[in-house]
Amino acid sequence: MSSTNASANASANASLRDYLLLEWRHTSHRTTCFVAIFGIFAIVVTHLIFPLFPDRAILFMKQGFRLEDMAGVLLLNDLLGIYFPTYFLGLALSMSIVLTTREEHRLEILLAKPLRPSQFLLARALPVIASIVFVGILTSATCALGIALQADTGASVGPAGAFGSGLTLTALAVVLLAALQIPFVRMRDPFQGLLVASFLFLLTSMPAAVLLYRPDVFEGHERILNTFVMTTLVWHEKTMIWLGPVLLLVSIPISVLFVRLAGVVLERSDV
Amino acid sequence: MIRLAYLDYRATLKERKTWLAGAIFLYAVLAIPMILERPPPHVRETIAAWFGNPDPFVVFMFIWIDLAMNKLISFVPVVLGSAVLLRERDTGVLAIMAAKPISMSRYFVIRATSACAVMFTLYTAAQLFGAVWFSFKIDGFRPGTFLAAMMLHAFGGVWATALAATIAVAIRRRIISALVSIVVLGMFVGLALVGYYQPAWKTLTLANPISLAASAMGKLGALDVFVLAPPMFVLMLLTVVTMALGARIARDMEA
Repeated sequence: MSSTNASANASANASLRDYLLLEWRHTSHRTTCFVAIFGIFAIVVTHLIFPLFPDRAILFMKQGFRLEDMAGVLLLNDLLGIYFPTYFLGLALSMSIVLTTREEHRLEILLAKPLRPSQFLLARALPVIASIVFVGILTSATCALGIALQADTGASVGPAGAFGSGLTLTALAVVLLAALQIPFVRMRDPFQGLLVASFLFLLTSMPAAVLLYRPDVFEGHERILNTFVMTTLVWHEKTMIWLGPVLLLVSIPISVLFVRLAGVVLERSDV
Repeated sequence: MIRLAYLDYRATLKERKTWLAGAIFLYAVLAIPMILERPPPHVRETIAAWFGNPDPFVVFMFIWIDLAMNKLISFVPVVLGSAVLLRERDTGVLAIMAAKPISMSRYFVIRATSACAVMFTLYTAAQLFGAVWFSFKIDGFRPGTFLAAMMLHAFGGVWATALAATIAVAIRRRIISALVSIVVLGMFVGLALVGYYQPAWKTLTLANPISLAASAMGKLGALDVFVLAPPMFVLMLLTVVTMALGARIARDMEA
């Protein structure tokens, strides 16, 4: 009896693995490559354009974001060139997990297969997470290379810290997009999901704007400043050398947990 | 055709995503005075130098356009415009529309026009509410100048919506086209004010429609019809050309 159960489990795992591979093949790798190229392009353009700005513009950023040198200014802008493509790539790919599938009346057919909703979601979400991580690592490496080529590298930031900071934002994108799957499984309109996710992206960038225009808000609130303001990644680049890879690794199980939670919500909601 | 566009406009206004977009505009109006309460001296001095005007109202307009409205026109038009025709095709409704005595080009123009009209409605409603709210909250606020400058900027939002709709019918895949629109608009928005940071590039940046939409920023002290009308006309023309291109592409679209 137990050998029959073991054989059934092995067969189920094998078919789940096959399904995961099918979903991986179904994921738009062309889109991933396009976004990766865009991210690299954005970082290269940043490194070419910013040195041409007048001193006043650079000083504005140095003073506003408490940066020490040009390498810090470049890294800060590069980080947006990492966060923007990873987040919006993940968003675009993850919208077809449930949102567009439901709107096109294909979700009930897919869920009629011998597969639990959480397994279905996970099989579709894992290739998306892999794509985000791929683009995040690639753009972070480009950023690190750009920083290494900068004349004043080492004074305030170095390539390893730049790479770690990029990985930190990649981890943030992975976790946010996995968490977004929970409201996504309840939504009917994909573009409503796009709007909510875009607003969330703006919200995560907003504390940096508050630091620029209202630095007094953070006086006496160092922990809040260091937790929520993206700019502080540049200040703590030595810590980012080890924390960035750790956060990216930790983000994977956290995102799997969020996707499983979304599966539970999907199980309990009308298709 | 006008009746159909009006009905589509009314239907889009009632959609939940439109209400959510309206709520985001409202949030921007309510939140900005808090951010503007005490800008540090170096911010005031730098912005005054960029725009050649030490008036604190210029700092407000810079933050309002750069931090709020430019960011919103990088994704709200995508939400409104990227579903044009493709949503009908993917849900099987386009085949029914194709059987009606209306060409795909015309149907695209109707849907894109109503999306642009919804964008314009949301945008102007936010500016009108902002004009009242900021009058109470911002010292030295000038409602007339604010509304005139933002009317020009609204044309940038309308063009962005037409662009998102055209990109959608050109790519023919909803989500990918939304991603491309966000990337393209993100680049236009990101470079919109570069001409003020580096005056040597000012003329070149006017080729960017979003820079054109924000061009009132440099002339806030002397805004009149001769300053506002030319960029408004250019943006309207760009919107018509972009929509015509979309209509041409939509002609070959299959249900």
